[in-house]
Amino acid sequence: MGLIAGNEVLTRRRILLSILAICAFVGLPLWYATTTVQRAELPVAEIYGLSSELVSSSRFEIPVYVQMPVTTTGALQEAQQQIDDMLKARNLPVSWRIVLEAGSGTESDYKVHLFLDQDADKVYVSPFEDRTIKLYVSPTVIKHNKVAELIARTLVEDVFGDEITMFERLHQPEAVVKMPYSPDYHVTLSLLQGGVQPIGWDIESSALLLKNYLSSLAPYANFTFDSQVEHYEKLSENIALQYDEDKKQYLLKESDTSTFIDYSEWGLDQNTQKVPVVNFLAYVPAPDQRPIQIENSVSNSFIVPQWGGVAIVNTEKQFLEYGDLLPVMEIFASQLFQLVGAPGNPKSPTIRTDILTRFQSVANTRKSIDNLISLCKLCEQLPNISVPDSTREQVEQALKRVREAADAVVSRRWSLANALAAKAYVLSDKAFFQKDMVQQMYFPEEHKMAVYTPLLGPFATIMVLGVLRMLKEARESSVSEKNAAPETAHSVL
Amino acid sequence: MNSTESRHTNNWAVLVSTSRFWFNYRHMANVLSMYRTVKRLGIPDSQIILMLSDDVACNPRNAFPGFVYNNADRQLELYGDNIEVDYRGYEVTVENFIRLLTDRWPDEQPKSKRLLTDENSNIFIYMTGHGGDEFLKFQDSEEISSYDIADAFEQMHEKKRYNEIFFMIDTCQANTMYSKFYSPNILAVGSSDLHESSYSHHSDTEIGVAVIDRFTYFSLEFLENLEKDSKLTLQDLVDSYTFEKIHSNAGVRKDLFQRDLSQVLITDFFGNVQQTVVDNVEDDLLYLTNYDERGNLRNFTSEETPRVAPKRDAKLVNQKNHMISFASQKSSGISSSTLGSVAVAIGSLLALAKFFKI
Repeated sequence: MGLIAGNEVLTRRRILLSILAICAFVGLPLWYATTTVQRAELPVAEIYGLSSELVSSSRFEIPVYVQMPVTTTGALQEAQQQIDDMLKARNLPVSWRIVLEAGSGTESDYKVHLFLDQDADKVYVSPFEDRTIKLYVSPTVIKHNKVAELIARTLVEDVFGDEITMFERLHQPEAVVKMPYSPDYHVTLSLLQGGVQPIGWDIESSALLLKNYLSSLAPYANFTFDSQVEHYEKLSENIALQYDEDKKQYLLKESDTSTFIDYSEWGLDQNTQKVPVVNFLAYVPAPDQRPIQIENSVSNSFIVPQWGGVAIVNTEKQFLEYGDLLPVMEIFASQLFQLVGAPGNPKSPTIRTDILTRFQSVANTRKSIDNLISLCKLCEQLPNISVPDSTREQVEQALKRVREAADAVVSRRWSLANALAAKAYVLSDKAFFQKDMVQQMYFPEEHKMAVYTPLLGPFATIMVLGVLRMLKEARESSVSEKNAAPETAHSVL
Repeated sequence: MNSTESRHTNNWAVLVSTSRFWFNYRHMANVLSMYRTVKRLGIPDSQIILMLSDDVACNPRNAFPGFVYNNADRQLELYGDNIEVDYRGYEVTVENFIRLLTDRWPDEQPKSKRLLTDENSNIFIYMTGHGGDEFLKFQDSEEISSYDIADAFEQMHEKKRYNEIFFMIDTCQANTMYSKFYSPNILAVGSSDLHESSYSHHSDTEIGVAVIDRFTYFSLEFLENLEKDSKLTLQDLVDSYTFEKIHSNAGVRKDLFQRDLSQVLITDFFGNVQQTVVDNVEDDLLYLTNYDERGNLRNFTSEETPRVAPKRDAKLVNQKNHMISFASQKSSGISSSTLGSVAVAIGSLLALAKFFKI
């Protein structure tokens, strides 16, 4: 009897211990592995470091070539000195300076040409692509050695004045009109008419001009475009047009322009494009509502911030020729410039695109770093959020691009710098908005009880009772061993 | 920052009903009434995210197929007139709601179903359903806790995805739902205190179920009298909630909110500011990028050239502003057209010289 009981105890003990071992060595690690949140290590120190050295790492040096008559040599160094002093007083948040160089420069360089003029001192900043500044200097100025001052003032105030102001406002919120930055945009040109008669436009020819215009903005961002014609897009009933008997026209109040576009009824689908869409509408009113004149508007147009522009075209024609469309396209071009946040001066679109590109490269760098810092803070704050490896990779790549962009700035390749900074921005955004980083739901303690009790309760009860029994048996057997040691030895025999 | 005036530039609304089944008709009616209101006050459909957990309009038990009413007088139909539901039925889940707030989506998520807000956005969030202490039930199968929403808001704050949030919730023990918020610039109102039920307002005997909740009913009663240019403030709205009307203690949490409620216009959240810029147009940008100084086309292929005006009058370029005189710092001096014609003249002379091989 004792023999069988002893074996039984031993077997039971073995079973119990092996189950406990499985629990400890397989179950626990498995539970731990499946319930811990995956958190990749982010290069936090590097991100904070980069944020503090942003100013020193992006060093802008804008070369300007000056062609001087022989009589005014020496003025170059003086002008450089004056420019440096003027910029120092502005205390820009980035390191930004103009570097004067003697020589004629190439097509893509900024060039200052000095001319002698008998009358007054004047500046002509070429509005064309040649980046040329013509400085007409009177003999009095030369006599008083004021040429250097004139050059310095021209460059700091007239040519790059807006750029300096933009950098000064780097930390302020962006203009309301400006579309949020994206490396790619899509431009949709729509001809909308309120009436029903057939209508068309020679968009193919006009688009050629627009195509060149959009590609001139390529250093800032890439633009693709398409066009559409929509009929029977009536004005919403909320818009009260007032008929002006004298001028024989309908007046659209300025306050009504904000509700002019009927987003729900007009065929302005924005969801087919993955990239942000810039909309331009040429609206031809229905015959019984023509002509419409917008209050306080000479060009009869308005901009909808962060969305696009509208121009009213009062025409009876059934086909809008190239010549009819040119003024409309000019309006759209001007509206687009404002929608991307281009500076207002100087007139030359080329120089303004340069300025915009340089500014945007810094803005994008800053935004990337801000995104990464937000990500770090978030991970610190929410211990339950998972950080997948892909996030870490994107963060590392974004950091790499930020550094490359800073290098490109130093080597004076502004559009490359902006392209790299834009990539960094997109990557940092992707890292932040990683789809697997959805915060684990919060579980109150009662919920955890409710999950684990039915799962582990019955099993744990048996195991605990088994352990208790084992302990009890162990104690009993040790007591009986002491009392009847020889007997047991005998029975084994 | 001016603490009395809002600096938002766009408005968004997120409207969520979370309960399923016919007898929860009133939750759908609540949210559709809010949808109608924000749309009436000017938020465009593209900036409204509507999460409708069940389709009562097309429920076989609906005595008025395709229609949803929020009042037994059935004067106002909520469903028929141009409605855009972004998340419907089983798409209304805790996960989707959290994803919506934090904007963490797979790449294929369409733009219309995303909350594309920025640091200038004011967001109105309205939720209704069945809830309890610090939770709100979704779809009879899961629940969202106050912690989850608080953390989602913090992520939005960290990513600068809102200017201000107005959070309104109509459910039992609603005030517990905003108790865990900790991010700045959030104002929250709820329909009832801890251990308090929120009640429905009245039933429609023909529909057979309650059609609206009390808290929402009286909120709407207030909002219905509002026009787009109303000067009423959120303080007025909050003051309109009384125990006699709602039969529970409506709560307000304003410690996270920076502005004084009596300074906050209701239209800061229920309307849409869209300031257009009229007639701020400059000339010739297109011309300047396509033509050179002499009025000749640039960057065109020989096939394309005949389709556009190959030469345009250089006078079209308004050069007045390009000449800056230092005496006055204003445009003056050489008239633009003279300069233009001088340039053209020199150009043609050069061309002639070349032609005659001089």
